[in-house]
Amino acid sequence: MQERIYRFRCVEGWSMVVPWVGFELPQLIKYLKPLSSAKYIRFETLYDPDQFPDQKRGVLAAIEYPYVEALRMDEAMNPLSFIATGLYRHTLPPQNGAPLRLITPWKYGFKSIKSIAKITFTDTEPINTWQKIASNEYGFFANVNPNVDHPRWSQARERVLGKFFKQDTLMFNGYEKEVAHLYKGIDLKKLF
Amino acid sequence: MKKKLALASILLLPFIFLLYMLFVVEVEDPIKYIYTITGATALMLLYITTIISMLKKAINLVKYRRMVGLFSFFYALLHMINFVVLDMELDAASVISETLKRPFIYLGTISFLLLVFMSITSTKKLFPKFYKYHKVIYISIILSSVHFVMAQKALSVEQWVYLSIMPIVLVFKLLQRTKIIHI
Repeated sequence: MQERIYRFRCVEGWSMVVPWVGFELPQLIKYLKPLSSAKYIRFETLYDPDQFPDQKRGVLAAIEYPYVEALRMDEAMNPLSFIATGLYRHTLPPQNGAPLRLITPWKYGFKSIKSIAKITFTDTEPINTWQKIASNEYGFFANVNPNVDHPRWSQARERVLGKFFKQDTLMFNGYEKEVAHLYKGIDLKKLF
Repeated sequence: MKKKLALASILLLPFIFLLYMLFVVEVEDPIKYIYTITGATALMLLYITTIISMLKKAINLVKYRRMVGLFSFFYALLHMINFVVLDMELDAASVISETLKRPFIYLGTISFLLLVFMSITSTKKLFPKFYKYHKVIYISIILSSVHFVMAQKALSVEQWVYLSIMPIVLVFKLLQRTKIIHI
């Protein structure tokens, strides 16, 4: 286990810095030994209406369950990709995604799927929950990008939690050096 | 007069609550919090203003209507100030470009301008000339509700319940106008 202090940027415009505890996702993938034909890794949140109040609401739930997220294999193998088991040097509380939560700091917060119960390797691009709800607003990559606005709001600046004033959002949330090479030749305005 | 003063103090409670949450409790996302409290209060008071009109034959509270309407404008103004000062940081170019680019912002802005119009023409002198145009309050209610829905990432059950007041008020008003119901 190690501590990682990452920026965290929500697609809705707030941000904070979080000290996570956990291990690198590549370590887990190496342990799981996926087939070489695997192109994507797909995660699913636990479905248990007794523990998750909104899952109990059935058709009245805010979104469809179980929550799904996915990464391309090369994104998942990037050393920044992290599985959190704790934060602030404590075990993850249930509401923060216990027992395992994905953290990809260069992507919007909704990619960091909580309470992972199932991991699948696949050769077809999975559709993540928010993409399914509104594909014109939420893409597969969901990389933090100040130059590509959400259709309903600007992504150029962010509200740092606890502060009255905003700050500029950085390309790939400040992790450009580590991850920009993953998206060479890709039009990030189209594949946001 | 005493009753009006009491009403004004009640209508100020959301504002006092907001200041308490911002500076004593120190909520973590102040800009969003100001939007939520001022927006929800402005819309709620807009509903109450129309309900006072609708029920005036049953319970006559018309003498308090202007004050409720003006307080709705007050909260909408705080909402607007939050947008211009804290969210856009007084950058006139962003205020204009964001307003023109985002449907949910320009719908809210139109609604706000309607409230400005109604507030200015609510004085003793101007109201007799302009009261018939104050029906735009229904347009303002519809625009504000659409604005509210579009600002959310997903709607919660509570927000659905809250939104369902709008069709009830509008249908009631329509039935009243077409004299299907007499209240």
